[in-house]
Formats: sequence, C-alpha cells, structure tokens
Amino acid sequence: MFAFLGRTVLQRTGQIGLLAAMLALFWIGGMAFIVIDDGMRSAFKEDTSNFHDYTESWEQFTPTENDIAVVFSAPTFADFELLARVREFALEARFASHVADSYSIFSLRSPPDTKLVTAPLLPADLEDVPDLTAVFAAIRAHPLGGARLLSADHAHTLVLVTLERDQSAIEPARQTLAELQDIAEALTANSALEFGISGLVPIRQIVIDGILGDMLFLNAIGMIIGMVVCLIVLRSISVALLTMVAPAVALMAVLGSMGWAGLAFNTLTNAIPVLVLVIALADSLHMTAEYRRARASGAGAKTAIVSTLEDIGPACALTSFTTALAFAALLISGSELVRSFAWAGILATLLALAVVLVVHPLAFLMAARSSTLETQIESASEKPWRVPNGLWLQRLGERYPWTISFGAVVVLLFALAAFAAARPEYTFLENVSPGNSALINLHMIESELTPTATIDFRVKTAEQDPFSPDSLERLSRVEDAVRSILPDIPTVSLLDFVDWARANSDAMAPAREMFSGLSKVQQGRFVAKDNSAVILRAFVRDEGATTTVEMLDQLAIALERVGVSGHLVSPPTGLLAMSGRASVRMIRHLNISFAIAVLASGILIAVWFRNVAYGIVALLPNILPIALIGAWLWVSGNGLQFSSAIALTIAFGIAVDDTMHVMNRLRRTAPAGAPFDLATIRAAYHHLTPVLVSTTMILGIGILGTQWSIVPTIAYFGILTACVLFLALVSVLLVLPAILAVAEKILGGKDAPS
Amino acid sequence: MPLRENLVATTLGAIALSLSASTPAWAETNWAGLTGTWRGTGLIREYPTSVQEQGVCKFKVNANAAGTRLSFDGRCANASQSGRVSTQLERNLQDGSILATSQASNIREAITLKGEQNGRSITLASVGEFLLRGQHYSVRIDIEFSEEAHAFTMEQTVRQASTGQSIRVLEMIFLRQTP
Repeated sequence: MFAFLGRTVLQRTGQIGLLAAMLALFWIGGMAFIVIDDGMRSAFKEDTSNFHDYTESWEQFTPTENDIAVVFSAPTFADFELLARVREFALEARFASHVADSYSIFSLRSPPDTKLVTAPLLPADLEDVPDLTAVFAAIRAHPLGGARLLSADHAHTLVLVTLERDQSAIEPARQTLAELQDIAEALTANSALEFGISGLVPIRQIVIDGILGDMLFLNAIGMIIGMVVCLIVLRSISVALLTMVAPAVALMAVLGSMGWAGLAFNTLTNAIPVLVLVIALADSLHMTAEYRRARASGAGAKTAIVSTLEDIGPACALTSFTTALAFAALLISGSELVRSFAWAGILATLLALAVVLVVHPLAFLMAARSSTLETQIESASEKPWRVPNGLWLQRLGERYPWTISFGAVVVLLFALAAFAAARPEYTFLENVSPGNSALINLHMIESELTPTATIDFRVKTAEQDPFSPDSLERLSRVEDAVRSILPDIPTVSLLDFVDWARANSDAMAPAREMFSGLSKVQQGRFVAKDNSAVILRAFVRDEGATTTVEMLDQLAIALERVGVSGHLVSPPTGLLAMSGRASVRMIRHLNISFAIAVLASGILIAVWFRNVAYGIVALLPNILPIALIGAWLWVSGNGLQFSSAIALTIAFGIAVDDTMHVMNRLRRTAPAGAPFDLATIRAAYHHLTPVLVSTTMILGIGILGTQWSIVPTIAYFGILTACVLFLALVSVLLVLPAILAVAEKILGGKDAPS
Repeated sequence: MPLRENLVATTLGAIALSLSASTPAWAETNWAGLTGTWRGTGLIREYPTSVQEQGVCKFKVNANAAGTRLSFDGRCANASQSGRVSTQLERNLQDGSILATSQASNIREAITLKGEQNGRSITLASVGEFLLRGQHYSVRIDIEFSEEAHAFTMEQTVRQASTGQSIRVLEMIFLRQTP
C-alpha cells in the first residue's frame, strides 16, 4: 500500500502538488475561524445532575463568577480623601459598560427604622464622621458581608463590580475591565492609594489571551527549534528545510481543519498542534533518514522515495493509529470538552499522517528535479548524523536481558502502584501564572479580606415564600450544618438580610419591603428568581478539586445530620463544587481511557504485525515511561491534573512511535521464522539509533518551547512530555532490546502464533 | 427601591441638563447642540425622608435638527442602587414654554412637567402630584447655567402634599462629557 502511494506520488506529481496547494489555501482559510475557549465552564459541560444543578443555580441566582473584584489598598483608610476616591470609583463603576451593580463599604446601610428609612454607614460628607474607626468597626460587623469588604487593619477595601448576566462573555468583559482599569488609574493617581483587579472575569481573560498567545508563539517557536535541531543533526540547510516541509504543512492542516470544524482551542486542545508537530517531525525525520540511506546506497531519487515509504510508512501509520486510538478512548468521557479534545486529536493525528506520507515524498521529489538541491542532498547523504551514540544502551540491554527485563517489570509494577495513588487535582487558577497580577491580587484579597470561591447551598422555600418561618428555619439548619464543618468561614444568606432588616422591628414586613427594593442582582444573591429556593453561600478557598470533594462529602454528612438533605436542599453547587466533582471524575476517566488505549495498542500492534509476541513485547517499553512519570506525580505531590493526564496520553503516542520503528524494521528484516533474531535486532538498532536519538532531541528540545507559555499548565505539560520522551528513548534503547533478547531465548527460532 | 422612584426627580434634572449645554442665547433658539453625554455629581436622597448621599447621573442626549424635541436616556446611582430614566421634551418656540414627559424604572405612569427658560435659569414644575412611597408629592427644579454653558447646577425640591414640607432631594453639578 505504501509502495503504491509512493508510485502514485511519482506518477501524478503535478496533480498531487496542485491538490496540496489548493488544500493549503483551504486550511489557511480555516485558520481565520479558530475559536478560543477558556474551558472554565465548558470543561465540565456534561449530562449529569452535577452540571444541571450548577446550570440551574446559575440561572436562578446571581453567579459570583460574574463579579469583578477591585481591591484598594492604602496605609489606612482612616483618611477622608482616600475614602472619597474609593467612593467615586464605586459610583463610577456602576456606569462602566455592561455593569449591572457594584457593592462596597459605601453600599452598607443602617438597619431600617420604623419608617423604613436607612442611611449609609459612611455619610455623604465623610468629614462629618467624628470617629472613622468606630464606623469601620460597624462596617466590619455589618451582617451583609462587611468584614469581606474592609480588612481588619483598615488598609484594604473591596469593591465588587458585577457584570450584566448576558454580558459575561469574554469580549464585553474585556471592555468593562479596561474601563474599570482606566477609572481606577485616574482616581488613584498622585495618592497613597493602590488598586488591583481580580476575580474569575479577568482571570478568564488571561487564560484566553494565554491560549491565543501560545497558539501563535509556541507553534512558531516549535518550528524554529525543530529547524535548528534538524540543521544540527542533518548538517544541511536544504535537507533540513525539506524535512520541515511536511510538519509545517501538517501543522497548517490541523489548525485550518480545527477552524473549519469549529473545534475550539482551549487549555486541552492547545496541545494538539504541539503533538502534530512532534509526531510529524519524528516521522518526517525517519523518512529523511531512510531516504538518505537509500540514496547513499546508490538508489535514485524515485526509487529511494518508494523504498522510504515502503520501509517507514507502516511505522508512521501505526504510530498515528495507536495515538488516534489513545484519543478515541477519551470519547467515553462525559465531558464535552474532553470529547472535543478527543475528536481534535483523532483528526489531527490522522491528518498529520496523511500529510507527511504525501508531502514528504513530494518535497524530496520536487527537490530531485533541481540539480543544485539534488547535489546538496547527495552530499548530505554521505555525512554521518551528528548525534550522541546511544548504541551502548542497546548493547547493555542485550548483555543483561533477564536482569533488565525483570528490573523493568518490577519498576513498572511499583510505578503503576504509585501512579494509581496519585490524587486528581484541578483548579481553574492552575492556568494562570503565579506571577500574574490578577492572581497576586486574588491571593491578597483572600489573605486580607475574604475567600473568593463559594459553595452554594440551595434550600427549597416553603410555599414559594422565602420569608416564611419554615423557609428561614430550613436555611438556619443548613447554616448550622455548614458551621459544624466550616466554623470559621464567612457565609451569606437571606438570614443575614433578615437579621439586618429586622434590627428595629420583630415583624417580617420590613424585611420583605426592604428586599423588594433591592436590585435584581442583589436579590439574586439571596433568593431564586422564581422564589423556589434561597441560597446560602459559603466563601472558601480553592485548594484543589480533591480537597473540595472531601469537603463536600463532609458537608453532605452534616446536612444529613440536621435533617435537611435530600428534597429540601439540593447538593452543594457553584463553580468550585461543580468543577471539583466533575474534574475528579474526568481525570479518572482520562486515566481509564488511557489504560484502555494502552491495552488496545498492544492488540493493534499484534494484529498489524500479525504476531502476538510483538504486541506483548511492545507493551512494556510503551507503558514504562508513562508509569514512571505517573509515579513521579504521586511522589512530588502534584497529583494528576488535566495537563498531566493529557501529557501522558500524548507522550504515549510518542513512546509508541519509537517502539514502532524498531518493531517495524525487525519485522521487515528478520529472517523467516526467527522474528527475534539477535543479529537482526543489532542491525535494526545500528540503523535506527541515530534517528531515534535525533528525533528525541528534536522533539524534546522543541517541546521545551512550551516553557515560554503564558499558561502554566501548558508549560507543565511541556516539561512532562519532554521527560516522557527521554524516558521513552531510554526504554526503547535499553528495555526493549533486553525484552527482545528474552523473547529470543524463550521463543528461539519459533515464530509466535499469528 | 426608593432611589429608583426618586429617579423621576432626577429625570427632571436631565431635562434641565439638556438645556444647559450652550450659551443662554443659543439655548433659547437651538437644542440640537445639546447632543452628547452628560455627567452630574453631587448629593441625592433615596427618597424625601432619607439622608442625603453622594450620587452620580449620566445621560445620553439626542435632539432633533429643528431644536424642538429632545430625548435622553440615562441612569442615576448612589453606592447602593442605580436606576434608568428616559425623558422626552417638546418646546414651543413661539412662547418658549417647555412640556416634558418622563418615565423611570418602577414608576408605572409618566410624569408630566411644564416650565420655561428665563435667561440663564430654567424652572420646571410637575403638573399635579405624583406618588412616591405612598405619599403624594410635587416637584420643582431650578437650573442655573454657568457663563461658559458647559456646566450647570441643578436643585430639585419636592413638596409633600400632606404636610407641606419641602425637601431638597437633588443637588448636582453637571458637566458635558462627550459631544
């Protein structure tokens, strides 16, 4: 089939070249339709009660995700002039684009008197206040979140700016943030006042910008690094350039196709182009190596192209199929985001394979028509590859086959056990660099003022009346349950509003009257739109998904204890709770999918080579690098994040690539009836080791380009993948020869059953 | 919320605002130049019986070419609340009288006002009374333009029908933000 492909390229060079050019234009057009998504909510969009509860809560109540937190800091706010500036910001912020509401210490009011008159705690003329410290004490004691708005040392104060519900999309929010930034800058200029903006709204912007920046920058730097290393290894500009053509076209094809297919770029799919570059470059380099070998042995360009496709094509195809299989296993995930990642991965790997198998021969065929290039290729073909010699590892493996094989199995078992113990971890904040100002501000707000994440408890109202005694009593029991587990965290609910509104009256009427006067945004912080439920919000720190899930489990027990679980209280929700539960499950799904892919790859290899022993032999060197990295995740305490789970899946594809090329060569060159012939194994390694070392160098260095990523999870993904690449190389050079030697000793000259 | 009700009065202020952007002589003949965005800062009461608070109002003003009709849309806010207001004015060029209708969030009925311009001052008053938190009120608005006509002050006073008590509910300085 691959020889047929080679001959077709030779016979129809013009038509195929024209088709490739037209497709290139098509793909360039598709790149204009690339969509960016931060995955904050879409990551967890699935058909589960967990997500439906969250969506219902989002629709019925005012979501905290739409709050922009603007924190002002000063040596002390016991300064009329500084306070006046913050008040002006709080007022001006209300007029910024897409803003529905703002809430600050200036919004806090005295309880209503008998005529339902309330007054702001901070009066119009601040200089009228005889003792600001006393007012600050009243602010911090205010039941409606006063302590969350002013720090204990009076040096920090928070203004919460809430976006209109339908304007929380990225671009409108970007405009609002820019306006708030301008207002704050103008008001803090030439004063002791400082400000910072944070919350999920700006953090989402950072993630989106990071993904976009990465898409442009990382792919460019990946190409540049790949080119540089190709130059060093191949020692020829023209050959290096010809080798890079297919990966470049593959990258363009994947970006363009994802654009046309509407597959969004997010913190997961952003890794797909990197994977395409990695696999396409590896395959391309293997094909270049084979082409040069054929040319060096006297073959003409056309013969060399056909023999290259015949020799290398199957290994490239099998690598792509096993990687596509690894992606396909992710389709069992309930998450729309993971499934879209899977589809993007399948599309990308298969597309990249097709591009490499067609474009690489096409590029070298075209080059052969140029006498200058032809001379350069011929000259380059005689130069040895300038790479470290890794054959000593193969010789070691062959010399101590039993020891190394047994050792590898033991290490694998321990590594798998450690891998299994790694805790799933997720926080949306992991996508933001620790040095980013929005994250620094968030940490400052959390340490000085209030945790920003919430766990929301929706309590059904009695007879659709939030103020009925039964409704408030249920709410009170929920509050008791929450306090029993989380005694020191701030909470806000309708109980606080009622306490405030009834400070001067025992009747409920004032509370109802005052509540009816609140803005819809403020009402939505207490009561559902349809009055079917009230909400208690517990403000907690986001300390990772597993910690959140453990907390939710404890809360569920506490709610059972006070008798308000089940039909009276919906399971705790909010972004933190929903994403915590979903991410833990999804990361476990990723692992299960990965295990399925690993096993399926063994079967695929056995079927492809028509040799069961090949399938079994290939498993250990394929799994070992992944298991070792998995074990490190547990040892380091980092746990299993989305980025690491994805890195392992992708790295598996790369690890398979190395093994496939060895097995493919072995299958093609081993004497009949002796699939594990030692002399053939040695010859295969002698031929392949420089290419394997070169590709690992190129890919490893290329993927380290992710260290420039603005998104830390992408950088983390890069370092993990580079480590897997290195371990995969060691595994294929040391462990695989040992296992092959053991197989030779066990099976001898016998061929394994087909 | 009371403030939203009070926006009726603020709306009246916006009417005055629209008259204030130019020199008095110009304003008497042409409203078209008043188109733009206006911002007012000063004191506002949530409702007549509450204490004064710091407040801000912003309006977008549009005028017809003939200078006889003026419409505006905007919001007023204090630190707790904000509300939307919308007003249309019609001027009789022959006798200089002004007739306005105004609507605000939470107020079901439109309020009618009448007034006139006298040099740099404008006075408007509600036709009849309007209901605010269960009490009947009438309102009077006084506007004084600056010499430059890029700013004006506005005072708004309501009078409670049952007690006859007058209360200042709005005191603001308005500046043109964008043309």
